[in-house]
Amino acid sequence: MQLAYFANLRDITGLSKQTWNLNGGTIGKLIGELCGTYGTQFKHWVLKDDGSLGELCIILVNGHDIRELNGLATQLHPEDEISFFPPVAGG
Amino acid sequence: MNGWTGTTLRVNLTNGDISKEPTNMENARNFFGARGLGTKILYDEVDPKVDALSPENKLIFAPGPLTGTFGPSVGRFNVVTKGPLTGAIAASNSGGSFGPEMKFAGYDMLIIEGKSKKPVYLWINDDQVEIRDAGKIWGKEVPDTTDLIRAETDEGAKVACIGPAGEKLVLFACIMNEMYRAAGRSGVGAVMGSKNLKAVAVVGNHPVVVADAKAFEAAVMIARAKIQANPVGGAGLKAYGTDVLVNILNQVGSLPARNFHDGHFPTADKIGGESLSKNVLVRPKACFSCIISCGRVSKVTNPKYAGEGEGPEYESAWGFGADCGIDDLDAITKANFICNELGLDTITMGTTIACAMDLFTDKIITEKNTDGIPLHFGDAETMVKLISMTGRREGFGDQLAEGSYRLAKKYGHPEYSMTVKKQEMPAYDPRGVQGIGLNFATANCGAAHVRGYTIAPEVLGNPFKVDQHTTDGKPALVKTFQDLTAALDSTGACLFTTFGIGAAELAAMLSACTGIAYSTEDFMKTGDRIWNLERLWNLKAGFTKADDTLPDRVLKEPIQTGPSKGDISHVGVMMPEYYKLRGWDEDGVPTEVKLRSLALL
Repeated sequence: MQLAYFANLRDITGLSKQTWNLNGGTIGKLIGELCGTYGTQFKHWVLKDDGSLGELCIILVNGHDIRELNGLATQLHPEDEISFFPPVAGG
Repeated sequence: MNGWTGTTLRVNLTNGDISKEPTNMENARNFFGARGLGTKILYDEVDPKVDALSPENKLIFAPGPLTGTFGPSVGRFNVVTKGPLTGAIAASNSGGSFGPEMKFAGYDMLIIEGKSKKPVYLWINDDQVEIRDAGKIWGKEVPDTTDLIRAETDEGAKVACIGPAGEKLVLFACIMNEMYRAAGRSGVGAVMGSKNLKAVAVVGNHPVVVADAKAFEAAVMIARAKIQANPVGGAGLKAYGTDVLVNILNQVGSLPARNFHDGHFPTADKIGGESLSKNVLVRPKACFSCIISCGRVSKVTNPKYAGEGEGPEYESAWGFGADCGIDDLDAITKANFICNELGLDTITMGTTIACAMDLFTDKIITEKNTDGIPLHFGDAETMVKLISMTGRREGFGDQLAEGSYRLAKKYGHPEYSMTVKKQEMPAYDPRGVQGIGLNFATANCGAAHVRGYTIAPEVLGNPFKVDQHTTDGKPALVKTFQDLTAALDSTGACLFTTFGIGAAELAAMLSACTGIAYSTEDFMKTGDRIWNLERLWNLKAGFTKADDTLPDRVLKEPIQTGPSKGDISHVGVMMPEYYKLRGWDEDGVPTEVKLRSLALL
């Protein structure tokens, strides 16, 4: 699957995009693996201390916000594109 | 006087009369200031049928009661007038330091009437007010204008001025202040130009007094803490600016591309905030009292588009970028610099060029009409060239200066203009985001995102997430955001404070500042009142429910690619419920019951 990082998540991961092999699972599992790779800074922007989805963090699966899918339990597939945004805004 | 200064300055440019009158405090209580109070003046004093560029129109500069206090991000003011682009009420909002300086000089409002026989500028030095000759400054761009006026008045003067675009009555000319902040939309700069008024320069030396300093400080500290704790208000906007939105809107498939032919732009990443930070950003910048610092000081070193200035913001990057099919950030940034220098609204400028490119692509206009200049989507060099031509009304630029609606209509195809009430839609595709489409269709100033920014909940999930694709619940959501924003705009606070605080915190600051106890309900009701007064003015100007809609392209042509592929706008489905929630009849006219409830009858 294709992962894309935006805003300061690019600074934290050092990447704007990457291919990831999840071997089946959910967004929650993916985030767990990414936190393991990119450490506490990544985790800070994406998860709360209790492990729930971070406040105002935007995670899209194929352009659809996981808060409208199944949250962290959203099932992923090998052909999915997942985008990670820290809290952003504008006008 | 608390919050308010208690004085309104009135200047008649026809006969040179300068007078100071007491601010009507009943109006101030009921409409706050800025957008609300300016709207009340316009409603009471200007016939909605006047020609916007005639001496009968009035130009009102109005800060709010919070403007100039030590509240967080409360440096805003509004310019209220009849907009020449739309023929509707215009209440164009701006930051910088001009609004606070007006308060320091002692004025709640500056009302400009009539027309000067020759170019002039207004010099307000506390209670000394003069109309001065602007003959040597007329024709100058915004930076030179600002410098020359400061040299003649005071080096510390805050200057609001027009560039050549306003002088040439470009229908979307803006009023710039502090060189890079714009009262951008609806052509308020053309109104100023029509009066032969080049600039207003202000110096003031009196602090804004608040009713209860202790309570105000407490309310301010709460608001500051909440804004700073919010990850967007506290850090996100400062790091990347508003242009960070390019990628998120593109990723959800709602970034309009090529004059709204699509909602997805494959190379969007090249023009987003991440790219801006890496390639052209010098440093962030803040307005008066702002703790958010969304402004961008920027520089382009590429010799082809070299320049320095501020921006681009998201809307500007989109308008000159994705909407024109362009992914050259240097060119886009240069385009933004030129607009600031000439005094042009970047949203209408970019989208009018996009409309022209669309007309050219479909051979509705040819090189015979465009001074031999081919207009292709993706042509960055031509896009930049057209802006200078437009700002001075040279060649084909004279046609672009009328905005996209009049351009497209001239050639028999108004459907190519992506406008509502003749004002160009900003950078959110209403096919992919249903609520913002309803906001575009009903905003009293014409299509405008800031009137009811439902992008926050629909896309960003701030303060809560709603599905962008559904129409369910959107009429209520849009009304709430519109009322909150109308009230907020009228206090002098910045809209970005709502990434952190809401009506309760704003009401608390306003109450402590003015000494009038406004509840959250009072605050929202004031917003509703302002919205309805704007609506009444527009109805008298000749607008009807037929104007509360969106262009056919977004009603009938689905988004072609990306995650929102297949979507169209269902604004017609939402409108009856919206009217009902507003307390309007089926024709969108406020009922007597509604108006009485708002003390508008």
